[in-house]
Parts: sequence; structure tokens; C-alpha cells
Amino acid sequence: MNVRLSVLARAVLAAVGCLLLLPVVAIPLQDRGSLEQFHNRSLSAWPRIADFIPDPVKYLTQARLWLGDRVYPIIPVSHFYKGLLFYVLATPPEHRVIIGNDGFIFLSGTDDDHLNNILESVCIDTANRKIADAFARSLAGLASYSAEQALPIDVITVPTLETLYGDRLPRSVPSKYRSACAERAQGTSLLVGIHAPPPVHYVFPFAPMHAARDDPAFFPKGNWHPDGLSLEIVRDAYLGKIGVEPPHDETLLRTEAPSELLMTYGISWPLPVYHVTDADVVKDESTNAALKAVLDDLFPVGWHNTRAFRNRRPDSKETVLLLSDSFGDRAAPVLASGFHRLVQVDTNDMKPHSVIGLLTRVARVLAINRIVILTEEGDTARVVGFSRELQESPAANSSSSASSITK
Amino acid sequence: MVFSSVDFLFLFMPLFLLAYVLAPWKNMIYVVFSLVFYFVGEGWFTAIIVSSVGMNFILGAWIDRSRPFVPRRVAILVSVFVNLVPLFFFKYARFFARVLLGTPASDWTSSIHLPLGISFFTFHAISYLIDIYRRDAKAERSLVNLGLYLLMFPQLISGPILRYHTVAKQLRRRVVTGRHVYYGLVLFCLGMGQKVLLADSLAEICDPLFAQSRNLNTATAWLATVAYTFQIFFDFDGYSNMALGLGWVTGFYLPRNFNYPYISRSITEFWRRWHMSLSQWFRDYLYIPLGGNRLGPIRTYRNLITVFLLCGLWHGAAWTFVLWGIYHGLFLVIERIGLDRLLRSMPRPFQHGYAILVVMFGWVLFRAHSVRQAARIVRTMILPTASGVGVWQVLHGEEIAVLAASILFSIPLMPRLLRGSAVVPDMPPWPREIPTWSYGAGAICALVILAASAVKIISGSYSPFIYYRF
Repeated sequence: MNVRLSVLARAVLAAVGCLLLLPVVAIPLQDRGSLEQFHNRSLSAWPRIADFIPDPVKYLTQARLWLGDRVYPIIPVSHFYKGLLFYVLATPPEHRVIIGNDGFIFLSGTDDDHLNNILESVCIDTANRKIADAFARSLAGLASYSAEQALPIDVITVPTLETLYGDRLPRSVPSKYRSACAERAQGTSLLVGIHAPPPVHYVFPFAPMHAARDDPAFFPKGNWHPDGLSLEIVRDAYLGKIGVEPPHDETLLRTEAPSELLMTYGISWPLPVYHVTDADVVKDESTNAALKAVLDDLFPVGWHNTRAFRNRRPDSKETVLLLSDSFGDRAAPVLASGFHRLVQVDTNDMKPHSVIGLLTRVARVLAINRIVILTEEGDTARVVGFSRELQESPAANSSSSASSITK
Repeated sequence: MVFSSVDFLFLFMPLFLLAYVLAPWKNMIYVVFSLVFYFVGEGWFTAIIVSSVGMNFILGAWIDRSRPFVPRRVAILVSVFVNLVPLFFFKYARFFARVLLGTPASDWTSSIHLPLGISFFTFHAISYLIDIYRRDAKAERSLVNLGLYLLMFPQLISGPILRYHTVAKQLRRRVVTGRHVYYGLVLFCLGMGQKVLLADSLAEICDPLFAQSRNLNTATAWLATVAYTFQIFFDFDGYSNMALGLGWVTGFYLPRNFNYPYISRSITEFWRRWHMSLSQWFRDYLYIPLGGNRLGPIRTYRNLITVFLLCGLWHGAAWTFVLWGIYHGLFLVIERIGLDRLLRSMPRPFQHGYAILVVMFGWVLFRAHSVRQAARIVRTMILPTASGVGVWQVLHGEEIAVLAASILFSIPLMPRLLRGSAVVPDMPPWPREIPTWSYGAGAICALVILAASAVKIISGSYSPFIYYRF
């Protein structure tokens, strides 16, 4: 075998090889904390050597993930790339993120393979009589359970940016969804007309939120999740319904913050927002730690999304359990202003049919006086599921679970 | 491991280049790195391809030493059969079990692992054996050299398909000069750009559209098809150019695989420009042995349909691929019968329009996950439908720029414009009288493309090769 490389060939190939190795060699130059903040998760760990023999592909895949998380200089390069797409080419980071006019950023789908399923659920399903009737029946079911258990249960449905401003969706959205969302923006959702039988209180604060929507910092306009003033309105509507005074010493500060949706992709797009602060509401870390410990087996390994708050000067002496989707994550500290204590569990990743188990476990940590279920308006199926599970539980016709929760 | 990944570009490739430059036993180095490349994706199933090397080493020697005619013919038939058995088992057992025996989708055949690139290395092995049988080459006496031919990582999992006799001498003796390195690296960068900047961006248009094919309107159905038409070309041509470039850098002259197929004026011409290494393999090892066009028109048409049916099946064990192959075979037959003559009397734009439309409708079949989905999309393309996912939901600044660039780079305009100002990578022999600044301009263009591709790769775009599992 005779393979000859000229001097120039050797020199160039060696130089190219050394150059291409730089992003790997320079990995130690990066700060681990910055990388974890960038990825918004823990960095992939190096695989265990013992795993190589039984499954080398899995071992090497994990090693490649380790490398992919740390390749230098991933942070500035990613920010540059995403910024170039967004600011120069006016391209959203994903197709389901809709760049509207006047700074609006809407979300149309849960992923790019289901581009319009969010618009479908919040704008079209909310005008579907069958879905509305099923929801109304679930409220009746909750009322029945609540009465049997002597445990107040309330439901809050939060309007979304896509319906509050449905008439502001850009023309890139298919006309079917644009017209439906524009109609919802007029308050034509069937959820508006739903009333829960006592003792359940049902709140869908579309009207007061719509009345405030002209404030540029209201929702905020670049978020999927409401924050600030919008949550204050939701809370006040609910507290008013149950006869609790809203807090008096709360501050509402108008400022700027990056769009929640775009920040997920590393694009800092500042928009006006309100920050709601109640100095009397503090995080209750010990209760939260206790909650995480008892709920461990109801969620995927290592994944918890719970919060606990304590109010030093509440109008109500009640302890509230807030069961929610992700809309509850930001709503929890705002709602906590109305109660003595509030614990929130984001049930997005909870194992199916675990509501009863969750209630029983929470009761080991503290006595609950009221349950509040909070979801966004396209997620009424979650309430229907909770209601069905509670009604079908063995304790539905006994007082045992009620006594365990409210002790 | 794909070429457009962090681990390949910033770890595997530089280590390989450094080892190739610094260490002796370059063929052994090449084989070791190729095995590592394969092992990363296949783990202990690498034993399959290693076994294939050993088995074909023995079979090649057997054919070479066989006495003339009968035993030699027996030897080649047995050898080809022995190579086709694992291909059939790993790739087609499940398909034929379902089709012929009606076995359920969840039976034991569904757990058969499909080795990466099995179609490619099987065809390489068959080419090796047939070239020995035809006395176009002698059996390789070095196991390392045969291993290098079959395992060479630039073309291992996605081609181009190497004919043994074209690389036999290069396995034993090759020279790498500065010009090899220049042309090879520039071509590699160009291929990387085609794959990462064009094909992967086009995938971001067509993948979500194909995923929700029930919700397409006519405009988005056409958009999905056009995007996929360009995606598959740049994906495959990009990968082939990267393979060619790496081959040149290491002293191998790999065959060109694409020659601007979308400027074709007929399907006949298309297949002379698309995946040329595959169509030449089928021509030389199947079509001509079947009789080619020497046995009258009916047998010629039969041979064409047979070859393209098998070509479709080679691409995948599914009805969509089989029908795609038959679809192209039928058009080849129709053109032979008289359509080609008719087309040549038409204006050129009409000829181009006919060819690209036939190809595009064929790609719908190729891309769809089922015949039903393909039919649904084609129906939506033909019958006006207004509702569904909007065009402007998937078409933004980046996508428009990529589509425009795709049209531009799918025709041979840019190389003609650049010729004279920058050195454009082309098949050897390369011209000698080139001013230095011209090399510099080419290198700068290549570095810009590489840097842009690296930005996108590091930013974390997922980019599997379409032909990865063939």
C-alpha cells in the first residue's frame, strides 16, 4: 500500500483538524451555571462506563448529548442564530408562534405537527355545545362531591390571549380560526353562560378582562400565560364571587419584561408588563418541600411543579389547594393574597387517575379548607376528568376522604 | 452519526484528519475510524458488516480461483445469493411477511433490527464480486483493503455506490496533493451547506405539513411537495458532495452522484442525472444482464419495469416505495413508446415542466407514510381546497429565502457565474493554471458556508439524513 500526502496537504489537513477541534477543546471555558440557565434544565450527564457493554449505542448517544449541551460557544451562537432569524428574517422560532402586529405574539398549536390545535380548542371548541354541556355536567358533579364531602370546590377558567385579542390575529392565520377567534373576542364563548350549582363557584372572568385589554401591558401581549394585571383581575373576580376582600396593600408596578414565548427560544423581546407584589405573601419553602416529598410517586421521576405560600394578613383564614395546569404557576402567588395559605400543584405531568391520591397525600402535609381548580379556557377536559374521578372514587359516598383533607 | 452533527464535525472528523495525516498505515486508520463511525450508530450490530467483509473476502477469492464457466458461474450465483439473504432478512422480511403471509404488524418480524446502510454495503459487495467474475478486477488480497472498500465511512451509509473496479487501484496506491485537499474541503463545505442550510430548513416546512396532511389546502399541499422536492435533492446531493469531498481529501476519486436532475426534460434524462451511482449499478448489474434493450421492445419495457420496481424496493420496504419505482418505470416505458419523440417537438419550457411535475408527484408517494396519505395529498393538490393550515403559517422570511436559494442552486447557474472568479469544485481532472486569488476566493466562500452551517448545527437543529436507513 502506497499512500502519499504532500507537505502542503499534510499542513492544511492538520490545520483544519486543529481548527475543528476547538469547539470541543474549549468546553471548559464555559460556566456550568450559564449553560444550565441557557438550556433551562440540568446538563446531560456523562454516561456510566458500566452501561457501555450492554448497550453501547445508548452509551454513545448519551455521550453525544453531553457534548451537544456543552459545545463551545453554544450560548452566543444560539442567541445570534435565533436573533438573526427573528430580527432580520422576521421568522418565528417555531411555526406555531405567530408574530402579530403591535407586538402581539400568539401561540397557535402545541407543536409544529399540530399547528392549530390551540386555536381549535380555545376558539372553536369553546363554542361547541356538546363540550360546553359536558363541562356544565362536570361542575354539577363537583357540586355533588363538594356537598357530600363538606369541602368547598371552585373552578376558575382563564381566558387566553388568543380569545381576548382574537380580532387581532394576523392574516397568516387561516380564516376559519381567525373568524372564530374574532367572534370569541366579542364574548360569545359558551363558557360565559355557564353557572355552577352551589356549593361550587364557577368564574370565567372574560368580561372584566376584555374591559381592560386596551392597556398595552394588560395580559402581557407576548405571553401564553397571563401575568400581572390580568391575573389580578382573575383573582378579584373570583374573590368577589366567594365574598373575600381583595388585598389592599398590593402594588402594581408597570415595567418591561421579555416576551415569555420568545424568551423560551433565547430571544429577548421586551414588552410592557405589570408586576403584582404583595409584601404579605411569602413563599412557604418547608411546606413546599413536604409537598414534593409526598407527591413524588405521582409524577415522573425528578419532576415536580408545586408552590406553597403563606399570607401574613389574609382576609380569609382558609388554606386553599390550587389544582391547575400551567396557568396556575403564575396565578398561585396572586391568588395567595386572598387566603391564609395556598398550595398549588401543576397537574400537567401528573400520572392519570391520580387526583384522589393527590388529595390524600396533600392531607398528610396540611389540612385543606377549599379546593380551587384553575385552567385555561381550552382545557375544560381537565375539569371534566377531575370531576369524573372524584365522583367515581370509593370515598365519593363516604366522609372519610373529607375528614382526612379538612382535619 | 451524521456528518451534520456536533460530534462528527467537531470531534470525529478532526481526529480522523489528524490521524490520517500523522499516522502510518493509512488504510488501517481509515478502517478503524470507519468501524467507530458505524459502531456509534449500530453498536454490536457492527458485527454484521464486519462479517460481510470477511465473508466477501472469502467469496471473492473463491470466484477468482474458480475454473472457467460452470463452477465460476456457480460461485458468483452463490456469492450474490449469500449477500442478498441478509439484506432480504433484515430489510424485507417484515414487509413480505405482511404482504404474502398476512402476518400481523406486531409479530416477531417487527423486532428485526435494520442495520444502517445495509442496502449500500450489500450493493458494494455485489459489485466487488461481479467485477471479479467479469474479470474487471482481481480479488483483493488484503483484508484491510477490502474492508476499506466496504466500510469507508464517507460513503458507508448513504453512498455514492462505489463500483469496485473504479477504486481498486486507489485502495493500494494514491496521492494527496494540496489541490486534492483544496477541492475536497471546498466541496465538503458546499455539501454541508446544501444539507444544513437548505435541506434542513426545507424540512422545517414540509415535515409539519406532511404530519398534518388531513389539514392541508391546495396551496399548502403544493408547498409541502415543492419543499420536499428540494429537500430530498439537497439532502442527498449535499451528503454525496460531503462524501466526495472527504474522498478527495483522502485520495479517493468517488463518482459524482447528481448532475442537476431538476433541469431534466424527460424522466429518461432525470435518471441519467439523479443518484447516478445507483442507476448505473442497476444498469450494469441488472438491466443489461436481463437483456437491456437488445431483445425487442416488449422485453425492454419488461426489463425497465422490473429494474425500477426493484429500485423502488431498494429504497424501502413499503408499498409507497414499490409504487414510486413502478411509477417511474411506467413513465420510462411511455417515453420509449413515443412520448419522448413528442416531447422533443414541444417547446423546452413544456418539456421541463412535464419532467418536474412527474418527478414532484412521484416524491409525494416517496415521502408519504402510506399510499392513502399520498393519495390524499395528491387529491388536495389537484382539487381546489381552501380550508386547512395556511401557507403563511409556515412561510416566513427564512423559508422564503431558502426556497429562493433552492431554486437558484438546483440549476447550474451559480457555478457558471462563479467560474473565473472563484475556483469551483468540479470533477477531476482539475485545471492547473489557476491564479492564487481565485483559490482564496473559493476558500473564503467555503469558510463562510461552513461557518453558517456550524452556527446552525451548534444551535441544535436536528438533521437526520433522509437516506439514513437504506
